[in-house]
Amino acid sequence: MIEASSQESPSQLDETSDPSPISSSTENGYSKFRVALVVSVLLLASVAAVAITMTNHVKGRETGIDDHVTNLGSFEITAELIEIRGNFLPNDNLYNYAFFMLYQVGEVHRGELTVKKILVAHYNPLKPRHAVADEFYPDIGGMLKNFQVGDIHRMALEMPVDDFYIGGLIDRYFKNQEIPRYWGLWTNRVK
Amino acid sequence: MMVLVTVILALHPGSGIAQVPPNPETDALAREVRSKGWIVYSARTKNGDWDLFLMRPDGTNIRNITNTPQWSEAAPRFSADAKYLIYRRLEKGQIISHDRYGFQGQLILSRSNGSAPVEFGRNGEFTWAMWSPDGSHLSCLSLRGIEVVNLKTKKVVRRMPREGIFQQLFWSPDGKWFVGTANVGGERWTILRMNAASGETRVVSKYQNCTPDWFPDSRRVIFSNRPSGQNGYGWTQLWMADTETRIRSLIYGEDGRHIYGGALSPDGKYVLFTRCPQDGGGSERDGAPGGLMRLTDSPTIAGESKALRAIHPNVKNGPVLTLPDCWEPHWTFADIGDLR
Repeated sequence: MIEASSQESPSQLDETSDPSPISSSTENGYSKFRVALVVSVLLLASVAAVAITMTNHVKGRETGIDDHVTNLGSFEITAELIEIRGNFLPNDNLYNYAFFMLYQVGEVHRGELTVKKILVAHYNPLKPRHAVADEFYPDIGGMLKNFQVGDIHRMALEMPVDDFYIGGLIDRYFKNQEIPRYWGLWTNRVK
Repeated sequence: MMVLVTVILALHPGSGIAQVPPNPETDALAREVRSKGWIVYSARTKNGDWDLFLMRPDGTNIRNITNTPQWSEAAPRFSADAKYLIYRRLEKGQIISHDRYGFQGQLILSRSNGSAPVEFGRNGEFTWAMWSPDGSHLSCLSLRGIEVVNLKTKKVVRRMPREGIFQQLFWSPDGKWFVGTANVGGERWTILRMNAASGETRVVSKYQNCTPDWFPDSRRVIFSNRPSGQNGYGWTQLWMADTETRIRSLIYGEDGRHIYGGALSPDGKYVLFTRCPQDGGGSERDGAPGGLMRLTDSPTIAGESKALRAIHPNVKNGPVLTLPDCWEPHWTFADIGDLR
């Protein structure tokens, strides 16, 4: 018994050594149910993945649409990043900052936004958006890997920046206070 | 030209303190400050958490006043009458951010010897809390602005725009001013003074400054500054500035060390700081050796520091007392160490 049990699989051991009140027929029923459940979950996950991919891709084009960008913040726009003034500071996990970048507004999906050029403060801009959230700003993110002039971004935004961000802020446009300033919550690339 | 340093032998649970031969000048400084009250500070323990400690200003009589292996305590601050302490309590294992600690954890109010700790607020509440001069109120800094909170009722009695201040808000001893680190005019990490009544602001020092604190005269401030023009990343130095004239002067610098945690003794005659080999002051690691010097010995430059000495040729070489590894020390002259 000891020898046998030492070579048996855990399920066999359960049947022989565990005085379970559950009968073997009930156990078989549960096993089938488990298999069916796992298959269903996998199927649902696949459908969801396909749906997300279809949402974010139309005929091979990245739309930048996802549940976050369409729901976070008071504004949702598609805009072209037209200028990054100067260099970013390091993002070495020692100092954290937000950095204003200049955008040409293409399409406004949500919120009232009538100007053509805006400044968006992006948190710790050297980090990919999927890795930028931290204990202080847990709701920031996106699928954008890096900021490059000429790229199109679909973004969820808020304003005024001071109501949503309190930290080091690199504003190389400070002499021009006419340009509205927004806080970047979620940033996806559009291709 | 080396500044003479004496390392204090201390049975400190979180630091392995090296021994160097005693030096008459630093010995004299140690004797001079030994009976001048107590310094409270945060330090990492053998358990890996951070506790609060009291020590005599010469680094002796160290005692752990929190002893909480399940928590970390940070950034203690005496009330002006030295009856109470406020500090932040974080989950053990949570990294203490050297410049955002005021947003972390809970605000705790205790007696100045660490006894009778009370949770003043929940996590993320009463951020950057600092005593009013009479201890009846706290100033807090958050996205809502600067708020003055009644200590007894915990109600906000006044709120004003923060005018770019984003961390390290401190209330002047005369109650007339705030000072903090701010974004102003495109310049990041600017030391900004604010009139506590009108909200009127004045830039004190631009570019790469932080951790300001008041002199007892409510006119000068002490702060850390990493000036531009250094080779490579550069080293952070301890400076002071007159908030009226904006005249700045070096207090202490040392190539190879980032100087943070600047604080004055209650009479303004001595300066406390930390000497961290890495930038940030050490809260993300194990703290950094503390230092104590006479203000009359400023500017003092330690070590070879060729580049720094070239900029500041007329420095003094006063003694600097090395204190145990610590972070954000604060000093009272009150005799509180034997209260427990």
